[in-house]
Amino acid sequence: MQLDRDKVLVWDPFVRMFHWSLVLAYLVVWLSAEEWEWLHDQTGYFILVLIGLRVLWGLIGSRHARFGDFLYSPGRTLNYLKQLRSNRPQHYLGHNPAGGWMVVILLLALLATGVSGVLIGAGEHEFWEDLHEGLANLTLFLVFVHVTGVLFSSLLHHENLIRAMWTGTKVRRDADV
Amino acid sequence: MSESRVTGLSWLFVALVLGSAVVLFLGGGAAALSGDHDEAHELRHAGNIIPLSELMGRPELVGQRVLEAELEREDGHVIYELELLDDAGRVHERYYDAVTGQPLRRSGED
Repeated sequence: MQLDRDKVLVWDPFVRMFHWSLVLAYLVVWLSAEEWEWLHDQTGYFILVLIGLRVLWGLIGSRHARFGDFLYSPGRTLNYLKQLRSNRPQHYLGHNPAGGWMVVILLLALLATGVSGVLIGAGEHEFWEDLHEGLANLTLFLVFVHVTGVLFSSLLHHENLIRAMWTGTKVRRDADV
Repeated sequence: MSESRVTGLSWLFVALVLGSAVVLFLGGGAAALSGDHDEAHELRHAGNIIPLSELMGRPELVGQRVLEAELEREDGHVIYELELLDDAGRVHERYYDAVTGQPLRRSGED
């Protein structure tokens, strides 16, 4: 049985705000692409602002928001992925090693997409446009990997990670890292 | 940093997200209302750029179907960006200086 006293705040208000603002902005930026240029551009800038704030927060933010909390060495990350195959992986209160790298890869891919988009207006139109489209497709692929990972981990550990990202709380377990 | 200060800072960052959204989506709102279409309209009527119909009279464009035509500003020039479908069903992109009507570059077939 899960007791209320075992509930802890894992994701601070900004982390949650960042996550769901990004989800919404990502939806808008896709739907407005090649249709509503102004909305697409402004939303793109908004995503870049979000990424900038998240990177800063990753350095100075609350415990589980910091990169230092969830970036594990490649060896430990591989070890975690091996544990997944054994079906008895370590439970992490914050991001698990795979999820942590997913955060960084998504941020970098979105940053690259945004920057290539800004550069479309600065000349070499065609080159940047092609790159922008390619990177945008890459981010969509990464989003699918991310969502799949979240659903997989939720089922594996019998916890609703989507709700946790909304409410900010998770139930602590004895052997948690 | 103490836990309460971190929480306070977290709300400050939330405020920064909201503030940037207001600036980006409402601050630029007035410009958006007089969007691309009006600007194209104005440019055309000022006699600065040639109409698309005139551009389509160029020999290499006759008989091509326009999938998409965009008016863009690039390096201080106004350019037409055309996405065309030729008789063989191939898609081309072509760029023209919107003032002189001269072709700028030609991309390969997609």
